[in-house]
Amino acid sequence: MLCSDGTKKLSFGGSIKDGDLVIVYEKRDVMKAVKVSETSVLQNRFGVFKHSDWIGKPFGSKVLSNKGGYVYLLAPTPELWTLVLSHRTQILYIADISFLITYLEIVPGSLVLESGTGSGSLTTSLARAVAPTGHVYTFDFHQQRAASAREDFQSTGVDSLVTVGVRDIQGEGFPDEYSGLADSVFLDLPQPWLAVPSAGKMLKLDGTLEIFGHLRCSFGHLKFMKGK
Amino acid sequence: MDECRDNRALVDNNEAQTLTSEDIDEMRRQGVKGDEIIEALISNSATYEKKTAFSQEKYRIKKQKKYAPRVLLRRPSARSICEAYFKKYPHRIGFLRVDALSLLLSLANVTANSDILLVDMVGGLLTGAVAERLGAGTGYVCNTYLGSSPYPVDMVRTFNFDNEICKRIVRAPLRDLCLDQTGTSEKPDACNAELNVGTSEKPDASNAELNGQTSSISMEEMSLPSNHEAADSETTVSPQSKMGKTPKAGEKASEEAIKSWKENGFSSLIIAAPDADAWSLAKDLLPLLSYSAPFAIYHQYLQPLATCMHNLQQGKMAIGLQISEPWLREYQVLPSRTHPLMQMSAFGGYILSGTKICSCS
Repeated sequence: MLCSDGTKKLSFGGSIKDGDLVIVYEKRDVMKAVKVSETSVLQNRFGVFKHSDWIGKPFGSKVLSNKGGYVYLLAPTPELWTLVLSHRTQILYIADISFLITYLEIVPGSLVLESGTGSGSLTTSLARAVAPTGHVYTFDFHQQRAASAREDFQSTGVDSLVTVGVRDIQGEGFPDEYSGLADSVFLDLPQPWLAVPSAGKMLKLDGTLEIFGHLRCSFGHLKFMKGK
Repeated sequence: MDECRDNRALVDNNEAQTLTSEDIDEMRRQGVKGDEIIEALISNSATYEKKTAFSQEKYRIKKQKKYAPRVLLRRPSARSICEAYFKKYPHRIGFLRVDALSLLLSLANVTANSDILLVDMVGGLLTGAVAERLGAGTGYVCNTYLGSSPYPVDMVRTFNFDNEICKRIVRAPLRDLCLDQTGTSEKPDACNAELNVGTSEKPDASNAELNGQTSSISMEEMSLPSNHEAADSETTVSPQSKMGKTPKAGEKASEEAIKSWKENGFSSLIIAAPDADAWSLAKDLLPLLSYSAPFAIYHQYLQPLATCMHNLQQGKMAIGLQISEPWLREYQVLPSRTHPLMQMSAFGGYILSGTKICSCS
């Protein structure tokens, strides 16, 4: 999905290879993430599609089924991923994600702390924003969800930019090793105020903190000045 | 907290404050601090104690703004620059509100090491915001324009970019990007057309003539600059570094870069051109994108985008097309006083987004 290798450029000019993640587009609201495999097929209402037909074609191609129906194969982006990922929790969508990232003033190279990881929707976009030299440390207190998130980040190829930790941020705060190093902290927790003091410790001078509240759709935005 | 006070006995006759403006000026001359002036105003107010706690807080904050203002100095960012312009000079940025700007950056998958094609007619705000997310490294933000003069992008300077990022911001006229590699012109008419912004429109007949003439002129222009630019960039880089001048953002794109874009395509496209027609720009720019590249087009008004969307669908040029209208509501957040602000911006424009597809099958 992203180029963490500084010598390569993000370009969809490459063709689909065995093992790539593609987004299968049937129509605007019917899309699915599929891992391409030489021997697999995709079956849907348009017919049977052999993955082997896809290999070597450029992303963005239209591919046909045995019945003559078609789908499009798109290269994954964080936006498309948000629309196709499996929901283990309520997720954030593009409108909020885009706004958050601008408000958090995240740029390439930033160090971002996030809690909770949830289904990794925002996390994937954060990874894009900090690439290639930054990093996202994300925490969730649910062991299995953390593991699923790690798997997703591997499939989408952002795992070099994201580290998932299992930790109760409300109860324990962020780990001390990041004290004073974070450019931004994002909290999406049931009781975010419990984590605010720890967030304050983690932030650099002029770092940004954002707290998201699903229920009231309210958005608290605070800036921290160390020493005040 | 129980509040037993109310304002039934408070009369707004301007007689509550016993300190006069001369008294306050005298205090200032004596070097009395802002906070002390505020305390003096409070203790000399006949009605302060009778006010509710919320009202007292409001009063205090009002006085603070006037006598002891506090400012927080922060590094400029896309967000703060956009908000500032939106508040003061929204027409200069085509009424591009910060949430609309954020959506453009996300929908177009702006990230490091990518090549982003822009039509920025919002003063450079878009260019700066994209460059900020592109960062240093490889990849470019390429500003393109119809005709021969680039649109002004002065706002980029407000971002305080360092040299590495400035180098990533380049420009190239549309006709240079449209020519195929052998240099023969298969340019669609629009590549040669001048963009008429607020000036009278040229009749079609003379346009056709102009096209014929300008094709030959731009052919010559192309071969000259290729030598010129190489020399230019060499001579300007070393004296500049000797003199310690920063490279200006928005230099001409190198031949090498243009060639690479023609081979691989741009990885995304963003258009923010309030005075231009979305479809006429889109139809010429979409072919310059890689397959499966996302694009986002901002416009103040819905109709041009609706027309553009329809044409893109008919021409099977893109999928996943959608028009979004971003919505932003600000809240005052205070205990027992959390509510939306009294005024809200109802008009942040619209965004048409989609993904370019391969027309081959």
